[in-house]
Amino acid sequence: MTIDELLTQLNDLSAKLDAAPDDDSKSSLQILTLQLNKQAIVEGFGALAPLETAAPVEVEQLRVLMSQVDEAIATEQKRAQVVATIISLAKAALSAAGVTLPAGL
Amino acid sequence: MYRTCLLLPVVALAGCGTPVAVRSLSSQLVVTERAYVVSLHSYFAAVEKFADAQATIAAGRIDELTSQINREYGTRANASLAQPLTPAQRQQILDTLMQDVAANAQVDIPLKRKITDAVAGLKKQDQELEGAYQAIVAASEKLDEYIRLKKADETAIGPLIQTVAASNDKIQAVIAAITAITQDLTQTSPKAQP
Repeated sequence: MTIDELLTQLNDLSAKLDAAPDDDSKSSLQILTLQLNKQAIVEGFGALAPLETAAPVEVEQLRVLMSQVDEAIATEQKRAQVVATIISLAKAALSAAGVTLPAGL
Repeated sequence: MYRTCLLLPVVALAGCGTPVAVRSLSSQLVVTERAYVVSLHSYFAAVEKFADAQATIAAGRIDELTSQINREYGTRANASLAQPLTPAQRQQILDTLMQDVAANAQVDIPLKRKITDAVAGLKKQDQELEGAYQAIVAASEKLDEYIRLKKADETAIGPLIQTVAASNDKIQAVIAAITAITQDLTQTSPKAQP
């Protein structure tokens, strides 16, 4: 039985006892109903409870791999510089040999 | 022959560049993810504000119920005090009333803490998700940086690729130019050798 169902039953019972003379039992029932109302309010926030135990998203591996990509970028930049130097030398060599290079090469 | 060899890698690598569509998708992915982070942040802020408001309302409602319960205790004590009693019995009723009211207030402390803990848990999870997504965006940015990088082969053939992509006429012109260079190199090769 959920708190809401229990609360409904207690409210029904209280309604039935409305006509009865006031006594300690009736007062205790009223207090119990009110206390259960408090529990029902708190229970409403229970939906958030699984969040507290939810496993965090693992991103550490991303960070590790990112640093590897950083290295790859640095390596590629060095390679590009070397290739650019080689191309420059090749162009100079071809020009020296009397070859007319087309625009864009 | 030597000069032909110099040009061969350049021509052979003509198809190795990162396709424009891949660069565009990568770049757009980063733009979308950055916008999503902003949207996610706004969403979490709204949800947290809502949760804070609900917590305030709940705490107020608990206080209200506590007051009602205290009134019940008071009514019950008044009914008992209305009867003929000894001073000791009257004091006993008053002491019980004080204890009940104090206990009633004590009950609220863990209940309210449960609510604030739940809201704090929500905020913590939001922060974790946002932090994780920031890391995902950073990874996408890093990949995009690599994709947009002018790589070694593209450094060599960049101008050629641009020419090829420009138009079909230009493609034909480049092919003709390369053919001419190759023929020229073939003819001039023996003269260049020592």
